[in-house]
Amino acid sequence: MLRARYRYVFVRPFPRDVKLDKLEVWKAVQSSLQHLVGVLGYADVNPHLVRVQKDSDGLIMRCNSKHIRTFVAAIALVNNVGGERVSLDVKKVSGTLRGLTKKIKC
Amino acid sequence: MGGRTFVDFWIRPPDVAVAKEMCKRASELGYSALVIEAPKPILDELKGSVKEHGLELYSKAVISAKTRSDVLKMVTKLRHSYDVITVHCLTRDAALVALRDGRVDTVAFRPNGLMTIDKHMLSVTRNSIELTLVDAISDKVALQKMRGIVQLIDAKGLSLVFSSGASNPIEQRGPFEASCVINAFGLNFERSLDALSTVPLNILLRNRAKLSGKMVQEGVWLVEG
Repeated sequence: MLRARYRYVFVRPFPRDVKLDKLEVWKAVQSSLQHLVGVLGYADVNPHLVRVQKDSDGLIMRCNSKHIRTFVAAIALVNNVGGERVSLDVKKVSGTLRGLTKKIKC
Repeated sequence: MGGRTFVDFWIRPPDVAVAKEMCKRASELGYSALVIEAPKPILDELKGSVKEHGLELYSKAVISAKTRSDVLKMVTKLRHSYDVITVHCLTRDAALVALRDGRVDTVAFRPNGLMTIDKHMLSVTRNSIELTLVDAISDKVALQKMRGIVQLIDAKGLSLVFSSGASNPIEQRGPFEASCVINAFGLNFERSLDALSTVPLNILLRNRAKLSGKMVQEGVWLVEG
């Protein structure tokens, strides 16, 4: 069986001064993805919350590398997190977690 | 993605302050040109701010049309004053005229108007069809309808323009995110990128040339020298 390949995505809410519960952000992404592609599509995308970056005020998420565009589309379609009107910006995408953290620090 | 010039083909700022914020955000997101639906005084005030962020500014008139004559009258009136003319069709009759009128640049399909497209409409279409991201974000039913329209556009090989339709900075998204949304609707990724770069850019260049008198008619250019 082939090893699954992932894409790591760094997401940051906009505007940056709004204080958000990061788990609410993750729930909003999950809900948006499920609405966009349904339950089976969600399983294909296989999204995961990897970590919350406290220093850079964002989240690192992971998905199946073949479905990265669907995942980014779902992130783009989020417009409300816990009653606050925000948008989520996809700042960086990388094939490895180490590569992504390097890119964020640059 | 590299090397492309991206255009946000429709933003609708309510006032100058918001418009300036939107210009700044568009520049941060990676756009090179903005098409703004706003009154002339706002556009004049924005010119300085737009240059500061390295953007190009184009004006847009949006005509909401119920009948055939609405389209024809308004297009005649506004064509020479704006860079881009978009018709937002409220009925099928208006859409049939707007889709084939050479003076119209794009025909917008939005949830508060006509949101369906049939085979006859597709067969007479000459102009680009415009869809907006803000409709996909705010209206879940519209999202499903847009998916249907994009699939028909893909099957018929028509040209699509995808714009943000934003009225504040929160509704703006980057070009990569926007093209991923169209890609998720079923259009291939290259064509999705074209909907934000090549197609709108060609419309803008053609219209600027026409307004400045460099292009006499479609395909007829004045030679300088």
